[in-house]
Amino acid sequence: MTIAVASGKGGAGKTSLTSAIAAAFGESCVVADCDVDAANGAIALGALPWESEPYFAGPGFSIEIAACIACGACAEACRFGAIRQRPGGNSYAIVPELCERCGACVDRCTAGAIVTSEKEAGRLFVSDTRLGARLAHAELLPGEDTSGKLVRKVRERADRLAGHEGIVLVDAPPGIGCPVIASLTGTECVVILVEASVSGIRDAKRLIELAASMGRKMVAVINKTGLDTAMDEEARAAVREAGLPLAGEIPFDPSLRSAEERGMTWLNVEGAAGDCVRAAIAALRSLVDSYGRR
Amino acid sequence: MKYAIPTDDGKTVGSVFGRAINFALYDHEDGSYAILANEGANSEHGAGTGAAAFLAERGVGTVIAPEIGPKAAAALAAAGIAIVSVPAGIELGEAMARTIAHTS
Repeated sequence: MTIAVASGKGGAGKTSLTSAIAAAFGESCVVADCDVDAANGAIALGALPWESEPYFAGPGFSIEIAACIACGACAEACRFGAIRQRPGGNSYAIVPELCERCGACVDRCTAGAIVTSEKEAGRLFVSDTRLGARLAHAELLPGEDTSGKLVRKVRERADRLAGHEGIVLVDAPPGIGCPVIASLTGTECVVILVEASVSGIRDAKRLIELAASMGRKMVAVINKTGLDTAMDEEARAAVREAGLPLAGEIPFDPSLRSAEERGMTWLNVEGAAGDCVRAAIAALRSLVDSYGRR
Repeated sequence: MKYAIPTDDGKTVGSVFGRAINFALYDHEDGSYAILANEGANSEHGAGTGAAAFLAERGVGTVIAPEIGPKAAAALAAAGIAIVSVPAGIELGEAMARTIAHTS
């Protein structure tokens, strides 16, 4: 069974909530950290990597100095300004950080000087964590961005670790684009985390629209309540209007943050805020169970 | 009518559409059958719409899959390709049989 945690807006608390759910599920659960642009599941869960392998994105391009006739056609073709003359002016070079890998330069080069190669863009990891849950995650090299392809690779590893009976928790990236779609594909339930703020509510609505178009079952959790009662009410209204069950509300409380700074998850926080987290996760579990296993 | 089914192992229905490793193509008229490698399985972005174009070019009329992403579904609709839903993991022949029973 696969459950995704998504919010639309970044910084809404996806990884924090995912970690708390993972702590509640324990060893039966595998977390897939699919927010690879800003992967922090490894920090939140205390990852101890035991396996890693390189991740190759699309093809990388480079210009062979010896073959380059310095005509400049490639630089002219490049819409991203990624091709520059080498010092001395006898050849051109591609600035890898600026290259979008569209391949226009390859089409224009009459000298056949531009070669393609598999470009290593980062690494994929499988880790144990101090919570008992296992973690599939990835790290990108500077300048590389996440993609549906990378999300798929992280999820494949998580699925393999979990087997047929296990639970996979997908920590989805923000937004509603390709990597998010790849994160929601094939999930039995999506936890919609609504941050009680103007942008949090608006982005959650966009996400709900996407998940509904994919036929996903959804459960809502509202985060950072208690700062503005009107905003809290607006968040509840958005959940109600979308027809989603509300598993719970988590207040904005410094005790949650300081627990994470000490390497704990929200699940073990004492006091009212922690009680809200435990109640929300208990409600989530029973709702998710009612959606049944595949 | 030509039918396409995403398949990773060439035997059972795969769980994803755009990033399926292969597509099984059945031609219901002449009974022919082929497994084609999905050229777009490893694209960074746009795998779903790429797969839709790939199948449209091959004259597919119906896609049989557990799940199709929103952009790929829109592309298939634009190409006039029907979608039939079957569970992942069942045998390809079983998926075909269910589809024929469902559509006829």
